[in-house]
Amino acid sequence: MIKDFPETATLCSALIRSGEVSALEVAQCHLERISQLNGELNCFTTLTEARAIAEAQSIDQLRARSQPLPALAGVVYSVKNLFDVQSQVTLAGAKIRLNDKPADKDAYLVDRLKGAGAVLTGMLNMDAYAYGFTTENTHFGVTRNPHDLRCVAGGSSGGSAAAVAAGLSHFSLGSDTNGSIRVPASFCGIFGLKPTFGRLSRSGAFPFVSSLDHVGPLARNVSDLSLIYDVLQGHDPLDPAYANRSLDMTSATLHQGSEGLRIGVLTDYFEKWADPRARKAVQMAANALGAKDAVVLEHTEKARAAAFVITGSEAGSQYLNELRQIPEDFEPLSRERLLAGALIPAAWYHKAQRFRRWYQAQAAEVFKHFDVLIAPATPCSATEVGAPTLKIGSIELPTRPNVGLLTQPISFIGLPVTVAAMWPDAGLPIGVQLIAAPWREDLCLRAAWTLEQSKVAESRLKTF
Amino acid sequence: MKEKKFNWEAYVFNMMEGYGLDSSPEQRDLIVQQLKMIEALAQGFVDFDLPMHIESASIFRA
Repeated sequence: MIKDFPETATLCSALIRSGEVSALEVAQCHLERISQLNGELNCFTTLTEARAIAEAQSIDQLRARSQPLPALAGVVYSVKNLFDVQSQVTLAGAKIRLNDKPADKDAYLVDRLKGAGAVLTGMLNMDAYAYGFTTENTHFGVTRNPHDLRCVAGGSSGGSAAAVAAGLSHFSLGSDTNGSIRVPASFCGIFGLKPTFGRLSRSGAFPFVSSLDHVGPLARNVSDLSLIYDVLQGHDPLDPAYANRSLDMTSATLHQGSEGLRIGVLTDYFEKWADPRARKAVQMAANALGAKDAVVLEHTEKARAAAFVITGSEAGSQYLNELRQIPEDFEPLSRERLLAGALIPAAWYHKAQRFRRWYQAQAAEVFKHFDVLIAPATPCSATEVGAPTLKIGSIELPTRPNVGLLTQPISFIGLPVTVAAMWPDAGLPIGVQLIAAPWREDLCLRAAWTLEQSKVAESRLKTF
Repeated sequence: MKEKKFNWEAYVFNMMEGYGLDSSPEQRDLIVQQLKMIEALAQGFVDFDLPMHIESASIFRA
């Protein structure tokens, strides 16, 4: 069982360095656990067993030769099946990609992780095209929540979150256009980081909405998240959205925690669309971080709507040719949404992009007074598989488009966010967003670290 | 100013025809429903007065 092996990336790497466990043993243990549990959870769409064994053996050989080991030596990970993995077909959750030719090289982030000695075990399930918040995929099945198999894992990086929560990987990579790292991290009770737009390269990651797509890691604790994020940073001119900035490492400052940070609580819109458990999670985080100021980010409802329009329009445009040629092969849960998106009037799209610039400037004013803002990550905890609606107070909303209504306005303006896993009662977990100004991933990670150190936030490995 | 409402049924039918997209009346109805929902959401920012000089964020740098 995985509990006999190092549960965190940092511990795993340390034990491999000291020779207490081999990288091969760690990899085999994870592969065995995947074979035991994946049938029920449906996290993986592709296994890369041979690659995992070879990568683990190369780490053990390095150690046997007393050569220095890289930062993530022997740490096991898996990636959302929209990142290119050499010799594998990138599906992006879509049946229409099944006959594509295999990738001829790894995505940029996968290459970074390979260079850091991490061991890749496979590619993970997701909503088709990354268009959804529940990972209910008609062609590749539902990914189930390890903490309650009747419930969804969240999406669209549902396989990425469930695999980490169930101990099938130390960490994973996901993408987040409107909340697709933060929603499943919240539902599965783990930590996730959506970095600033333009911070991490998306080269070799299948696009969904180019002007909103982000990529980032999910992990079971904040130290791992920070370490992995530091490894992922690098200069890559091949992603046109990549901002060529200095690399800002976060691990060294993590232990400073929330000391000296000005932390506020987002209210109004973020309170209105949160159920009592989501509000309680925010209150617990605020108490632990000493956050007393309520902050209103005005016009957030409009921001969410504008994100909705940009998403529909760019996604519809991306798939229009294939919708014309092979509509029958599309995900039935998304086909009409994509078609409608392709028909959104251009004037609305343009206005949405202009509004985005304006709203970004409003948020920048708020960050003159605060370093970190707290908000719920999802309106509620994980919903049941197939649930058509979710309820917030007396208001009932369609589930699939609305699970991300608290994450959408934040990714809309590219702010960095760490999701911390909270357990407001004996029920399912629910996450809080710790939001910082652009390029200040270090601050939202420090706030999450404080929550974890004070035992207010934690991931609970599902051992089965 | 006189309020002009979108005729989504006509818009969707003509656009689908124009793009050469095969569609059934049921499918067109689903798309019309989607667009009406998006329209209801979008009114908030579509009607919002922005300063004239605000540029598009489509080339976005946080």
